[in-house]
Amino acid sequence: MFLRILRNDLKRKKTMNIIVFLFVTMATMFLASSCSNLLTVNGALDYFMEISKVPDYFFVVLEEEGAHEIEDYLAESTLLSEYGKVQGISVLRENLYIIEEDGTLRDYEIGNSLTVQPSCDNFIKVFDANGEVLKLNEGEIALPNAEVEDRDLQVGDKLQLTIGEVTQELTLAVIMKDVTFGSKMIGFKRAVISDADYEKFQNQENMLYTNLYCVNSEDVKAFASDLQKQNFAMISQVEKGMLEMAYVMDMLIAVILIIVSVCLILISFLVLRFTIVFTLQEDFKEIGIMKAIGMRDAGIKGIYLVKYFAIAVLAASLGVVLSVPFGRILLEVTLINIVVEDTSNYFWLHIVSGGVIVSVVLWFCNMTANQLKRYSAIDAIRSGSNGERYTAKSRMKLWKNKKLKVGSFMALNDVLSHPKRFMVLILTFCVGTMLIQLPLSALHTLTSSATAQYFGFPVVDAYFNNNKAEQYIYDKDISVIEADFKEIEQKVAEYGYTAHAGTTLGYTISCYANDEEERYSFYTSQSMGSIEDNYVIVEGRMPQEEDEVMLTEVLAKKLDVTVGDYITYSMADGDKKYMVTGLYQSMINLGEGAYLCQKAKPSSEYLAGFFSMYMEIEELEAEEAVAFLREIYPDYRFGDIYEELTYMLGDITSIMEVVIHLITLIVLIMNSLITVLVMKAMMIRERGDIALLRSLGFTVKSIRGWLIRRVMIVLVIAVGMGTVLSKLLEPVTIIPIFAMQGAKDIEIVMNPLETFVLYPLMLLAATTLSAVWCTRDVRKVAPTEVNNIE
Amino acid sequence: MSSLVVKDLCKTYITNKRQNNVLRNVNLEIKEGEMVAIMGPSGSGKSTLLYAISGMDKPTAGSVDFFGKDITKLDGDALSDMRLNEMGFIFQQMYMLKNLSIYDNIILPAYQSKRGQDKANRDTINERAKELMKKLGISEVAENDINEVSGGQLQRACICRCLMNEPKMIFADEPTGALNQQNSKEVMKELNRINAEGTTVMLVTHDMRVAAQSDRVLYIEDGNIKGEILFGKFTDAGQMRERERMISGWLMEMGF
Repeated sequence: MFLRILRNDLKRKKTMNIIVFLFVTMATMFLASSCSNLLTVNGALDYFMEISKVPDYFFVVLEEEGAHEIEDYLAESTLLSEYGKVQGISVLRENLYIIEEDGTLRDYEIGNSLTVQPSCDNFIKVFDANGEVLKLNEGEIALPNAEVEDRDLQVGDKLQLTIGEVTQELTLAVIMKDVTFGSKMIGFKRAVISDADYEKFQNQENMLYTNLYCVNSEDVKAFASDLQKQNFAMISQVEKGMLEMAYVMDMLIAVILIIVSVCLILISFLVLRFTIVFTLQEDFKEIGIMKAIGMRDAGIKGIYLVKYFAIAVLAASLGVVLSVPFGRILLEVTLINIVVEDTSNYFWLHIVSGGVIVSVVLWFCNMTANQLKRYSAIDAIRSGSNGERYTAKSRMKLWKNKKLKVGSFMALNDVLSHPKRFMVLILTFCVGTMLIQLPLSALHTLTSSATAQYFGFPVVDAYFNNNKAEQYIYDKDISVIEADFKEIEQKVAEYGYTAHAGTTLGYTISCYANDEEERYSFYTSQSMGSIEDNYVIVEGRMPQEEDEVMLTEVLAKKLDVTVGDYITYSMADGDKKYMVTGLYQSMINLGEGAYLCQKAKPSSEYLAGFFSMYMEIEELEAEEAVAFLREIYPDYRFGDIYEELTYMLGDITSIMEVVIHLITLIVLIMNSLITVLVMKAMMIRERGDIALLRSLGFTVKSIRGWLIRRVMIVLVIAVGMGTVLSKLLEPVTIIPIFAMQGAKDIEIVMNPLETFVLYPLMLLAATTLSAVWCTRDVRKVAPTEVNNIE
Repeated sequence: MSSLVVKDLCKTYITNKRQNNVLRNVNLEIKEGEMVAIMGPSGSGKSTLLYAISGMDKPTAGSVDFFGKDITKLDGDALSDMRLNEMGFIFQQMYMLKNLSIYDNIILPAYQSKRGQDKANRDTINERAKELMKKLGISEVAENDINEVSGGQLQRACICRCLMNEPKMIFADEPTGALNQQNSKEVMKELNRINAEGTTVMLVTHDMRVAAQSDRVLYIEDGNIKGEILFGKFTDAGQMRERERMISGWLMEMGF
């Protein structure tokens, strides 16, 4: 008999049972993959660094820059336990082209730098997409994801590499994972070719070798400080700890997805509780009859526990199975640059998660079913199919309503009279809105002109790259850069426009503050040309004299100095003191940096890089300026502030976009399912109302309109709430992420079109479609059913 | 003039592959302004007949001419329009929408009608509602929720609701079935008054006292009308006992 009751119940409430099944599956899938991914993410970077053999400290030097001295120094130093050298060849703009399908050559458009190396066995290993140590055949090349994405490349594409007199055609065989230089936050980039191909380029004149020295040390701080005293012209130097920070955005994105999963799990639990409570309340009359004929409470409860246990076990099993590939996909999307451990070690966690979900379902069911004890048989029968004593109070008056149609009035009145009925929908839609809006605001902030200040960018018409950055660094002749920029201004002037060009130079110079023995090396910026940089100054002022400097707050704290104090730069021609005139915030190098004014003349031998090159045309708006410049300089890369930031931040922004799309898809699916569930439940409860309205002469269309409008009203309210809550939560969610990068005072930027129109419209469309689908059953409610109402 | 002409009306239900002929070739005619009661044993098809001829349920065969229109040929929306604008219904269970006050429930069909869609008519509608509530003695409970009134008040509110769009005919299914004697009297008094004003009424009832107040009583059994008893207009409460006695005897003859 029990089986018959169960079978009939499963048949009668097919839709609701299916939705419970889906939510249990999803809850299990999210919980299992989140737990497993949390453990994986937690140790992912450490694992990746370990297998990559990242040294405690490494620095990059151009070969002419005293290679022998460095090696002598390292050989004699007592502050290290092991060291190694990885040599590569610097690739200049004219060296590298992409071979299109029709055989034409497309400029590769090297960013700041690109070095070609053979694969390394001792230090800083690289891996293929499957996490295996990279092995290339002759004629193959491997590039990091950041390079591949920026140039729309894919595996199989061909490149032409020329170094000296030797030209080779290479096929992109692998998109490699490179912990050391794979992050977009690190300017230095490398491509890997086979030993055989590398050998072909050797022993030519005027080769631009790049030496990367890898050092392991028991006392990295002491070694680094000692290294600064040597005044080697290093173009980059990185401590292992700092390298970890370069991946903070990747890890954060993974954590964001875990947080999203947790929110979705909570929503699933909410929905499960609603469904179980509703189902039991609906069956109150049947329960009363069962009591009346003598069935015990335990027996009645047992029917429901068995039903939900069966659904939960089946659904959780499916959820466990699906959680493995789902978790893997999430990891691969978010940790695209990182080799993660084999997560099959954590499969036990997936099973435990499934068990937890089953237990929670049974707990909800048991908790709700315990209410049976409070009702006598006749109470339960009299409470009827509602299972509740309904006492709604009408909030609005139809007779006072002059504006709304009847269906709209009824919809609004329902929501205002008894908002508790819609709480599941309101909470779900609200949380869903926040899950979309918070990362969306983070992305818009990241690519907004407000963020430009945290990179020192001035807000100008166009940002460009003339593909000579690498050459400038090698030539170390500032006058060449000035001359090139003057030439650009003059060429624009030929067209009748007044142009200003500039750039930000970057130097890596050894420095100390209070203790000469404690030395540091950090990136010191300086603007060049007729456009000044633009920073977020939190104290003091920008430097105006040649012996003045501005420091980031993070660096000032590290050096233990403040405005008015002095720091000393050590260069080949001696030490020089600079007064700290101000403190600023920057997202470059995780907030560590300094700034000199144009009057200061640091030695160009310490020139290490560029950020961006700027162009302002007085007579043109930004869009017009970019279009014009692209026409007269087709070989240069021009873009507006958004394009420049996106280019700079590269795969961070594209990963965030993917994550936002993924979250949006999940939210849309959740919204749709929950809408169907809640509407079905309400229509079951309100079957009498629907029958009454049909008997009174309301058409099916008008009744459907009432039901659909109700959900739409709830959605509008919830999206509004979600938007407000998102705004309130920004200081504790988004700002700390930027603060970690050095920009704690950043202003959060929102794109009103996307935030208030596009995404809410998508939510509305999905929810409305679900509501429309659900209300098809109104037609099946006969007007005569009004007589069957209890 | 006939307000309702029913010819060879059939209604069959198929449940678990079993055919159940609830109505079998029913023929009847109701004149404008009549009050007709239908009586019969449980399961005889009384309510089915009521709903089939009022368009609430679709008959399997036959025709129903409602004031010159064959409603068996109308589609769902047309039938809805007809129920809204030309018919009124009173049910045994005095069902109203919980989220609306008594007053709002009463004016709901009027606001939904074609006339009510034009917001300029809403004041007129509100006045009619107040007038009806005053006539039926429920003005003081207008702003109450539906669970704050008695059964009789609720049923009178349902009568107000069904009269809002000035229907040509009222269909009532056991209008006093859930009421006590006092409330039943009040409700029947109102139905008689409405009928006296010219509205045709057809009602299904088990209660001989209710049937006794009708112009004509039909007896239905096994899905067909077996007989009728004609009284004429109920004008005097003194006629009640005699009519009840006649109905009782007649029903016994019918085998009820």
